Amino acid sequence: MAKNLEKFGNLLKNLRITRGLTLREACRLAGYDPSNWSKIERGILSPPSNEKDLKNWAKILGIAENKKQTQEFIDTAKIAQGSIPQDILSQDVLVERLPAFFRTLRNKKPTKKEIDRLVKLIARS
Amino acid sequence: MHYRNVRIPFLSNGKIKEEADLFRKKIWGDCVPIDIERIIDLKLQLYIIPIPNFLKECNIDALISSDFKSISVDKNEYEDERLHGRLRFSLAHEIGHFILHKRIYSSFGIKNQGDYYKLYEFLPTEKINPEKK
Repeated sequence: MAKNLEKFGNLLKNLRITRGLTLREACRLAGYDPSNWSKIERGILSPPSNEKDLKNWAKILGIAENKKQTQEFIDTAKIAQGSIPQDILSQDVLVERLPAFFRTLRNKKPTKKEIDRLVKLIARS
Repeated sequence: MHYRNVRIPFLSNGKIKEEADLFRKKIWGDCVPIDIERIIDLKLQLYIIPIPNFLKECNIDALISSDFKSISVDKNEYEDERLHGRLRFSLAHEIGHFILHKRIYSSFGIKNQGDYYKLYEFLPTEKINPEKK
C-alpha cells in the first residue's frame, strides 16, 4: 500500500515537473491544498478518490489528450487508494478473486441475487 | 563521531557571494527576476512542504531537511502573497545551506536522534566563533 502511494506520488511529481508547474501553480489551477498535494507527492496521503478530480488533474498536468496516459494516471491513483480500478475488476482480476468454492449457512445453493451481492462486495474490497 | 572535534570552516562574505553567483549562473543563468521557488521545485526537484502554524508554533519560517531533499515552510507565509518577499528570502537562505553545508553535514554521520542531539550538545561553538575573528 505504502509502495503504491509512493508510486503515485512520484508519478504526480514527475508529471508536474515535466509540465513546468510549481507546487503553487499546480494547486492554484486545481484549487487544491498545497500541504495535501505535497503529502500526496511524498506518498503519505492518498490521492483524491473522485474520478472527476483526477481527470481535472490530468488536464492540468497536460496528459488529458492522451487517453491511455490519463487512464494509467487514474488507475495508479486508485491502486494507491487501495481500490482496484473498476474496469480491471470487471475483467480478469475480479474473476480471479471470486471464491472457487463456498459453503452457505443453510447449505443451499446461493440465489443469483446473493452472488451479485458477493461480487459487489469483493469488487469494493 | 566525536562532535567536540568538529571544525566548521569559516566562509567570508566574498566567498559566499562567489558560491551564490556560481550556483545562480549554473542553474538559472543571467535573466531576472530569479525565481527561487521555481529553482527549488523544478530545477533541484526538492519537495516544498507547507506546514500549518509552523511559524506560530515553532518560530520557524523555513528549514531544510537533514537529507537535503525537502524544504518545509510556514503554510500561511506560503499562501499569503503579501509575505512572499520574506518567503523568497527564507527559501534562498535554505538553498544557501544546500550549497554550502550539504557535504559537511553528511560528514557528521548522524544515524539516529541520539546522534542529532549529541551534535547540538557538543558542537564546539566557542571554537567556531574565534575562527570568525
